Amino acid sequence: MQSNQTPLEFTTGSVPRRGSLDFPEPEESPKVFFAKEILAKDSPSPWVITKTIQTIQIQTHDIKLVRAMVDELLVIPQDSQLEKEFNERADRWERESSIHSSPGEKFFHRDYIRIIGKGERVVPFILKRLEKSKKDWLWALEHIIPEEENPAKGIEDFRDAVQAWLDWGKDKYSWLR
Amino acid sequence: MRCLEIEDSLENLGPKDYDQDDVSPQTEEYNCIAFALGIINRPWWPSKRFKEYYEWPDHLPREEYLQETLENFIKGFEAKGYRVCRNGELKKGIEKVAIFTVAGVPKHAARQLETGVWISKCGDLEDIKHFTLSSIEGRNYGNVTVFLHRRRDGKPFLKDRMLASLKRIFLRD
Repeated sequence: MQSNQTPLEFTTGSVPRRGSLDFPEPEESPKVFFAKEILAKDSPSPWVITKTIQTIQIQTHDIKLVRAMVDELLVIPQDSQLEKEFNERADRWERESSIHSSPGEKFFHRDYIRIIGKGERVVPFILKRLEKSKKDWLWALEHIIPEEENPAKGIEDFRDAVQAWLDWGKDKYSWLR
Repeated sequence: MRCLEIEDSLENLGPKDYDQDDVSPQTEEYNCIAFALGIINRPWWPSKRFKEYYEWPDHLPREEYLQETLENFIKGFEAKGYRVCRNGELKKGIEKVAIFTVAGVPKHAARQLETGVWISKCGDLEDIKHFTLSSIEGRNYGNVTVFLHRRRDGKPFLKDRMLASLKRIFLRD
């Protein structure tokens, strides 16, 4: 069902170019600036965000910028609280599950399940952690990302599967590169 | 060195219940089942995921998480020369292992050293020498459900040798 909300509008009516008079040079990159613009509004729904991004795309014809924005939206300030919560839960899970040899016993831990419940928004955080941690974060990824997109499908070695997920992440989230 | 993470997780284990001067570094290279079998280069578990990572005898089934069966674990140890025995009493020349279960599902295994002390790899944490089995029983590892033994010299038990001879005789044709 479509939302009654309208796409967010920028004050200038059209997207200003960097350095123009009505758009002073921002300290951050344009993608972060635009993403923050969207997020400064009162809890825009995913539909509003999508439509707003589409509007920017139409106005700027800059596909790279839009793609970068989508990436950025997954990790910029709106998610700082989420990242904090993720890290707290992840640290606790890694600590409390370490006593187990049983993989199932590790995964059916309240924090691990809550992390999976957060859905795709935590995937970048998981990937970031996966780069350093030797813990099995793949089970969580397998339960968040649709099966047909699973880059490690059919891989029988854990370490190879970790690499496949990291490669997939670098492809999907440019900032991970 | 005190293993505080292990002490925190195993409610019946106190600082005097294990040898603090002889603990390994923490590692994920192997797990308790592998360690009970004397293997320290890969984990053992009948996992359906990552079959090349989790070792398990080819002729035995892989099982769903938290639905692993004690029977499968016993057969896993039998494949390495162990046989079910009555208790964990120290016996010269015999190596024993204890399998711990929660509601019948295997969670942990410990191995008896020649001194009678037990040694356990605690998940991804250290392996510790604990003086009793009861000190690591509790909510995480459950209770000891079965003991198995094998000869320390690697030779099969007399019963197994006799069975092998009988098979050779009767299945010759």
